[in-house]
Amino acid sequence: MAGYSHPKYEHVVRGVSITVIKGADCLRVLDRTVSTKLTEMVNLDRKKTMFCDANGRVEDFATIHIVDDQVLMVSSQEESTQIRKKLVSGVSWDEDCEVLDGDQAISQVSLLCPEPREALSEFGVIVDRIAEDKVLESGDLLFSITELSDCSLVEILVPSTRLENVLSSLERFGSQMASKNRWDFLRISKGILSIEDARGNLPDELGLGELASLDKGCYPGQEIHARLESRGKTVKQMVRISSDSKVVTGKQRVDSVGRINVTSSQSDGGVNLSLAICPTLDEKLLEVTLASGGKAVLEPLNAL
Amino acid sequence: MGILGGEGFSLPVVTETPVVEVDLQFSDSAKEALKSSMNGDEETHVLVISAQSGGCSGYLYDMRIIEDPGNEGFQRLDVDGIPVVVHNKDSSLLSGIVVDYKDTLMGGGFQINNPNADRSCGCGQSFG
Repeated sequence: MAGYSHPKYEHVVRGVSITVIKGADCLRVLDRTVSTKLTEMVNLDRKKTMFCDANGRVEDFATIHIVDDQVLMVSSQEESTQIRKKLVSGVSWDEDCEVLDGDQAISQVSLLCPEPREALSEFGVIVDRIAEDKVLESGDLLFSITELSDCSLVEILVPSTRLENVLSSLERFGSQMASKNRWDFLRISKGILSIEDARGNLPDELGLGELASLDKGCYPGQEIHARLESRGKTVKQMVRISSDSKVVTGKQRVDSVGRINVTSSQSDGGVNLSLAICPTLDEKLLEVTLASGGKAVLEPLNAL
Repeated sequence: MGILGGEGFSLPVVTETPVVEVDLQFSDSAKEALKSSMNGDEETHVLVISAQSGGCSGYLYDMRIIEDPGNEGFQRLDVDGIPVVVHNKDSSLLSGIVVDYKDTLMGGGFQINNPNADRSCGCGQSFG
């Protein structure tokens, strides 16, 4: 598994959707729709959350930032139309809440790096760390950090008019711009889920159970999440697959494991990595033979 | 000056939901209960029926008697002399609902049957 350790600096402009929600009731409206409690968030807080359907399955996930009493929500491009429609239709006639499309105005740059302090200093930000539930605003840039097992994920929200400046700064610093495929490979290696991995699955199966609040009251999917917590047992889980050949996405049967659903797959430098939902494994690493005859190792994942 | 505070920083507003002509039905028991709740304030107050996000199924009903908000943004119906209004933004979610009233000690009160809902919560307050 050491074959996909990448200690250098690499960045990408993420294909995400940016929604700004403003007005005195904006947090309350959003809170009613998502799986985590947001109403106690204050300025420069950051929290991950999910939109689920009534069956408790993930429709989308999002990162919520509070900036100047407004919500800046980063979610998937694929689901943005439906999510915004849901938000707009959920505003009561007497609530002060406006949903704005920030896709053209704001971009997100993600940087994988061994040492975020040095990267942040390139932007004049001198801090040892930023707590994962906080964002740091510097000028018109918004920085956040997620600690991964062997590196850090720095996310920079930037006005799109300044995107080129940020990319130039990163390249001057020595970071390399990753291609779409390269980023896909990196995110799989770090356990960063895309909406393709998450859509239609239960939070516990994805390792996202902590984003399902059991004490905030009703939200779509809450009954199912509560029932799974009290009576259920997770029967599926997300695994990372390291294989000797590229794995095709979709469902396949694997001997000694059962049916798996490969949701992402990417190759880079002769290393083939995939993410899949599969029946819960007892082992930390399990060597298997795939339907194609190729050899692979399955590793349960604590997803991001 | 922050990421959302730049001068001239204006973003497109996500458009409202479609507006349809609202049609509501009230059962006889609901009309009686509504008259009783209005308590003779029909000249100055209205019943507003609305929907907002929430609950297990995605949306929650709300019914309130409020001072007449005027016609701007609302559709107005007359239910046996009692003014009932629905905001345009809720029209597609609420058109076609049947309002009933159950006079029972437990689980009683106004109840809404929504033929447009794909699902509803056991408590009857949430639909989707």
